[in-house]
Amino acid sequence: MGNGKKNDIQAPYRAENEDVDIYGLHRQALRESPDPVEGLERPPWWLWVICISLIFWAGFYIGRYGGKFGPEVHLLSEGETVKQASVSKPGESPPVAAVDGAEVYNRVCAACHQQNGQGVPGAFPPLAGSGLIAGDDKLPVKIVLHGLQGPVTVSGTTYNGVMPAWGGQMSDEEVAAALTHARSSWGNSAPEVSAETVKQIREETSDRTTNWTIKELEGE
Amino acid sequence: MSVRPELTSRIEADDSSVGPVLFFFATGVAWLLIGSVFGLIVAFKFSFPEWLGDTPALTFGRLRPAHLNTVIYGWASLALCGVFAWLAVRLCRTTLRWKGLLYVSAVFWNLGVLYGTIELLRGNSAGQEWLEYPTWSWIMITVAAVLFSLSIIKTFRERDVDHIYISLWYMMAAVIWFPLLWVLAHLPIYSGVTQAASNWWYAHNALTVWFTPAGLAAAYYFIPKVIGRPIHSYYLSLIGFWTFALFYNWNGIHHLVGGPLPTWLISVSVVASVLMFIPVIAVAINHHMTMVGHFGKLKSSPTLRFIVFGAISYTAVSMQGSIEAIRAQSEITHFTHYTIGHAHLGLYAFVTMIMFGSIYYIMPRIVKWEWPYPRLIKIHFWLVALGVILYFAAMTIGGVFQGLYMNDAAKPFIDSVEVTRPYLMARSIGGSMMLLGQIVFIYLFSLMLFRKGAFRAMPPWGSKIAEASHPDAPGAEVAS
Repeated sequence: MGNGKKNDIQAPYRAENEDVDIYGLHRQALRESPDPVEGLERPPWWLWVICISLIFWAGFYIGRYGGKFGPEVHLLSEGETVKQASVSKPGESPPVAAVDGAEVYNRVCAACHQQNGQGVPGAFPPLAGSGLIAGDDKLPVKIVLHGLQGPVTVSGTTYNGVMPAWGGQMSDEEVAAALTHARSSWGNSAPEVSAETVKQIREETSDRTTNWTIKELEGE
Repeated sequence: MSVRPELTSRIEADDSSVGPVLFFFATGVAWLLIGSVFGLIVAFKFSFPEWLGDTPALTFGRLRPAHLNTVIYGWASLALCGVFAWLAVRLCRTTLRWKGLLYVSAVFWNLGVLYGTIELLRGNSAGQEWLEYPTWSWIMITVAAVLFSLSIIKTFRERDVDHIYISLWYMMAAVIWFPLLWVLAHLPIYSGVTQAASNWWYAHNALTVWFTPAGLAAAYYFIPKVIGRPIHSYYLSLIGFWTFALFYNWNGIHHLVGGPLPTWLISVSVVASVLMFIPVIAVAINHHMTMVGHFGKLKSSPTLRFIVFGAISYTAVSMQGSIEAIRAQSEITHFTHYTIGHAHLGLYAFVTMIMFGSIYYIMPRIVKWEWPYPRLIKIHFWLVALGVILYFAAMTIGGVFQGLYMNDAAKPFIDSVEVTRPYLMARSIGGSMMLLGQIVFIYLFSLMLFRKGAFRAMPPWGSKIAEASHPDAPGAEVAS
């Protein structure tokens, strides 16, 4: 015991030639309370109520939102599975009757063409004041469904880039709503595009696998 | 098994752990300063984006991971290693075994953090949050963690007690779990979605198996120790520990709500997060019922003040985390400042405050010198406590606005940035207060390290007589 003699830091508290460190013992006894022990009080009854309620809820939640422990992503429950998965299936009606064109535009198109329709100078052409979008409604529908690549001149500026095809990811209603939004915003005032038109063009051009070029579109 | 008398074993225990504990504390405190400066620069960059933007090493993308890693692996880990080493020998009523390993461990931790920080500032990040350190750095920390665990486990094996106190459960769990977790998370076998899953499994489990057990072990020891009564209920400790061990490990995937993982994986994680209410409530009752009737001691004991602040924050941060995991809330607050506020409530208001409290208790016992200038301890407490409350409030409110604005398709993205500006400024002010408080703490700590500053007599514990006779005497602020 008391082998702390080699420890200089103890020196002021320890008399020399002492086997038992009396000073240290007193110091320890005075300095702090004994080391803690654990009492044996019973947990309150309401803790068990909380535990049992939470475990019931846990069972419910996993049953309802567990996706049957399958590998699929974003499956919530049987009913929602169908709805979720079908929202953007090509050619099908979305579950909600009215599609919000502004919402679709902001979600899909605004990343490049920007929320204000001005595009990004040198990279993405503007839609505000663009003849391509505000003219014949077939032209923008074709571009959205199958994309566009190569040089295109909008409002006097030439852009040379690629717009991907969106036909596989957007329903007819979504394409129609987004285009209607773009054709009636930021000073554009072209008539709306109907979902039927989109459906018709989707069928007419269904064998197309590559992006359009502006020459092809204007040549037709 | 014979049981050692407590007083003599306490003397031996404190004597045997002095060196490694001081090493861990001193270097940890240094990293706290460095990490906080990084953090504050990052915070001000939100208000002044061009500031220091010309120096690549001081750009946001490098400083931010440097801040995170220095505070978790530098400060918090080293401080908790010191607390563990000191607590383990005391609770095992023995001397520290394989002490040399602890010195080597401390050196390797520091080398790992130093090398990692330099590489992060040079732009060589491994790219996953919480796992940004480059290869050599994590290898060094692996060595450090394994050596540390070996020494603590050896000390535990040589224990001289009949009953294993609850703090020891958490500590032993931590030293066994953490090296495993650390190595598993770094195996080069994950890619794609699995990598994201393993990344967040690790990041949340770092709290599960390392920082939280440290905070709880210290709180379970110091609260009853300072007020001098038993912990309320052994049964609650049991429930708290085992449900903690059962549920907490599953929580990490709630960081990926909405991500491309199998639905069940996320749902299970959400459920496990919510079930964390059980251990948290059990621990909260246990701590609260122990404290009841003794809240007056908060006035005289800085240790208790810091530890109780930390324990309350643990309840708050865990309950907030359980609710955050639910999909409906995650949709709004997930990718916003709200999450940053939550992280600081956990690692600062809970873990760091408890580490401060522990250091206030441990230092006088190992350097045999009382804290000089009790008033500075008060200033430290109020600066960091108010600072972190301001930080948390600003980030939480700002984060909710940010999330609501981002979810509103009709609002341009920039609106969600503009709306957070006043809150980010308030956050920077909170952060400055925290840094200021820490500078006070570091000043006090350095005085202690060299046994400098005003000499104060040893304050006897529970000194009712002393307090009654000299309520305003310098010793009235008892540093224990």
